[in-house]
Amino acid sequence: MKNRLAAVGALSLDTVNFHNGQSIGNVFGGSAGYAAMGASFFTDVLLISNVGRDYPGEFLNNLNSSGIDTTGVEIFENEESTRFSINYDEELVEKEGTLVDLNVLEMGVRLPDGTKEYRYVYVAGNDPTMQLSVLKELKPGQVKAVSTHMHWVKEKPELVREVIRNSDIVFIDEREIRQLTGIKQLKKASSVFFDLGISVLVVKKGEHGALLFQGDRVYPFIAYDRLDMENVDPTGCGGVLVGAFLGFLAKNDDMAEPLNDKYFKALAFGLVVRSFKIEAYSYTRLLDLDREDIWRRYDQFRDILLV
Amino acid sequence: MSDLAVIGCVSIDNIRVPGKIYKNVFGGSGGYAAVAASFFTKIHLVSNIGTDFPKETLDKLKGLGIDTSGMRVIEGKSTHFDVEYGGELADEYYHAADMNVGNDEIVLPELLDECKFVYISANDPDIQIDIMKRLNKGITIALDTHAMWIESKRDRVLKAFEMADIVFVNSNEAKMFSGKRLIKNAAKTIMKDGIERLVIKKGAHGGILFTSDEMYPMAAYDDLDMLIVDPTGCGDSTAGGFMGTLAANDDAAVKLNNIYKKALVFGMVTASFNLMDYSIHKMLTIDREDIWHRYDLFRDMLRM
Repeated sequence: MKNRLAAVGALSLDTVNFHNGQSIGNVFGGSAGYAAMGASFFTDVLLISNVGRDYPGEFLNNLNSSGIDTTGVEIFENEESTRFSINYDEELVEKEGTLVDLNVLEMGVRLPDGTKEYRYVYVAGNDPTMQLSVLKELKPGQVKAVSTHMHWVKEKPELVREVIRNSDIVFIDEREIRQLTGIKQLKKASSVFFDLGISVLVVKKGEHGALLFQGDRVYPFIAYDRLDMENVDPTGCGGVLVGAFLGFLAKNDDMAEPLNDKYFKALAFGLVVRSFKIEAYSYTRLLDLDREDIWRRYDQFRDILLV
Repeated sequence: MSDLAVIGCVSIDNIRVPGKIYKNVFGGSGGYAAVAASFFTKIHLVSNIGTDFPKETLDKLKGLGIDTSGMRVIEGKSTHFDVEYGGELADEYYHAADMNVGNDEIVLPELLDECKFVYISANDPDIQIDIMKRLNKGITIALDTHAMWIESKRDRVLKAFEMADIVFVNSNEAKMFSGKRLIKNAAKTIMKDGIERLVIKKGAHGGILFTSDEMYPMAAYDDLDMLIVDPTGCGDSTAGGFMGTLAANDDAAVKLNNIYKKALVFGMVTASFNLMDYSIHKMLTIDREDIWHRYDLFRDMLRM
């Protein structure tokens, strides 16, 4: 198997409404799309998704230019692409009322034959029924990573638990894990997940960073942030973090390094790439970003953490 | 190495956690801060206590090396808080907050002249302002507040902030004071008023030190075995550990901001012990080595 990442899930056309009446329409989006972008700085990525006839070729070209294999993106000529409409308040906190038109995503994805050659597979947050059907197609030896989405945590909690039971690495937002377990303390809530048999858990906390649970330990992480950094658009931050994390892991799969160190660095890189994503609309900052920018900020992050 | 004066409330509290009530235990923002700071440098605790304040508690403070000569005994009852925590110790509810002798004038002992650092714990901002007016120039003054004062006397809290060199608030207070929901935005708003150093304590999320041009976020120490018993005084312990570290290193030849970062981590590590038992019980069983050991664990954990 190759030390690469396959990302399965949504590619969407997003409309993002900001508080001052400003709005961007039909921009690049989707959790799998963002994850693929995040991972592309570290390893080769196969993106598996469905799009409709209205999906811009320019987006696919940009993905290709970022080194992402889009042969797993199936274009449905008679369908519309998935659409999200997201609203933010003046501090860029997501407001209620996100509109979702799953459209072509409801068709279920077809995994290309080559998928079984990918050591890491990420199944992005989606209807758990569809996540499960993807997970069941995967081979032993493939590392299965999943994330969740609040909508499905509320609608189908039992199936979301089933998804977690079938995975190795889980990414979840702090509100989602509290909702799913009914436990406020994240440390306590995490034990519920480990009882389901997973091996790594990352709890994403937005501005507060993330917690990494692995091997009987918890590693608390701050988010990379600076006073002079301006937040512009948080859409896709979670996906980018996950992608960079898994991309780094996939790339360094053979590295003779203690597992916890590897996961630790993976999360640090995830938070660093996330900090770039938030600086501009949609995926624009990621398109002009190169590895050197990431490594430089990673070094700064390390300095911040040094005490 | 400099001494640190801690000026603030020492009280006799009732603490209610799910399934348990701890009655008449040591507490108060000044009390918790002094105990936490005592692991780092010589502490002079300045407070008013009533005639009902137990002698053995004073002895315990002395046992930690705290100078209690500034604790003035006044005829009457000690300050008393009765606080309850809900569900998972998250929500806080006050049954009683009786200031009693805490409202009497704070008498500053002369030995305060020897302290280069003073920490004034959460209190009525008018009392805090009065204290600061009486302090010598050149002393580094740190200050904390409480949500109830932001609600009732926001202007005076702001005035107190402006007079201090370092301001401590927790995330709820920062949000309440600024009207912002995100911590960085809240900090920017608060610092507009000319505050040079601001520490926002975020509980389980850690803490962030803000200077006029930089921010230094730090995670909180945690491990899976650490049981949370009583969160009372953790914010005060963080501030105490922070100020103790600062005072202890006042002559160290290191960059100022590095000392502040270190101080924040030591503050949170010290608070992580306070969390493990009710009142100051855990703090009475640990020593400097325990704190340094946990600090090293934390530092190792963050080494990338």
